[in-house]
Amino acid sequence: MTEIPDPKTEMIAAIPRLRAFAFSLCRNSDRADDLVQQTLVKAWANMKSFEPGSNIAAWLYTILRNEFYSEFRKLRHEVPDTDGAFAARLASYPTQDSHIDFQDFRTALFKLADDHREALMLIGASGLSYEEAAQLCGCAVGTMKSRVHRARAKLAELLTMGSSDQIGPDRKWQAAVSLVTPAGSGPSEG
Amino acid sequence: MYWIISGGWPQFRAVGPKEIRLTNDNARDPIRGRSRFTPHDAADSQSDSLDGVVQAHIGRELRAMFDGIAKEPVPDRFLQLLQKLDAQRDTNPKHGHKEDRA
Repeated sequence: MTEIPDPKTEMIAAIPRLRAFAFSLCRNSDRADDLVQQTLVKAWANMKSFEPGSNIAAWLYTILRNEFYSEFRKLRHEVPDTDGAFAARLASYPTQDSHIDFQDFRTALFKLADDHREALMLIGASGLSYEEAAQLCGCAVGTMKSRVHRARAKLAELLTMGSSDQIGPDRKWQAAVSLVTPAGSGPSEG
Repeated sequence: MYWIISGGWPQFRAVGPKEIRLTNDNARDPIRGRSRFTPHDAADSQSDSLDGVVQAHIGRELRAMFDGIAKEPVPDRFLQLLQKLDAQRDTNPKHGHKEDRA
């Protein structure tokens, strides 16, 4: 006899990653949490369409994504990015690149097109495979790979561009790059 | 705060071709063109690795951002919401799911 997992417990377990995904779409933490709340309500109302035993997190991702593209994005330009406190909270998380201003990275990330940023977050941060991400976004695997590639290229361009008299991340990234570039050895990340 | 995206080329143009072997491709590409940080003769492989270094940074920043949020405790508002929905299910089996799965 297999015990059926309690949907409430499973949903709670999925919330942290849902919030992270929502933030990568919304940019603003209040809106991200509103989107998560909307997602949970909708998921609960449509629980019958969820196949027991399948990946509830992926199912919730799909609902959240649909909610964002059908409803939330319409309001996008009405909400200013007044999320300094949240950014500061995030910036307090230690990273290996603490000398790089987290805010700079975040600003550049949100200059990307929505579908490119989403692809980058799903593949580069959330741990989904290309196949899973493509299924989630309703596109071909090749399209997902192309989006990730273009997003990475654009982000690198944004983060390294600009002359020294401009305000921006250029010099910090230059410094970071020059610090971590070992002579004659290649990168470790593909 | 936004910085100017189209604000001119990086300074690698000031470096002469004797020091860095700039290809046309490098000249167009601001990332690969950053080979002035590693001014060796093997400019192409160096700029490839530089691109890789930037990409490695991007990967770490992405994961730091995602994990930073994902490691936060679940806010009370969601716990309360799900408790409320669960209570509604118990009192109104029409919207329930446990029975459907038995």
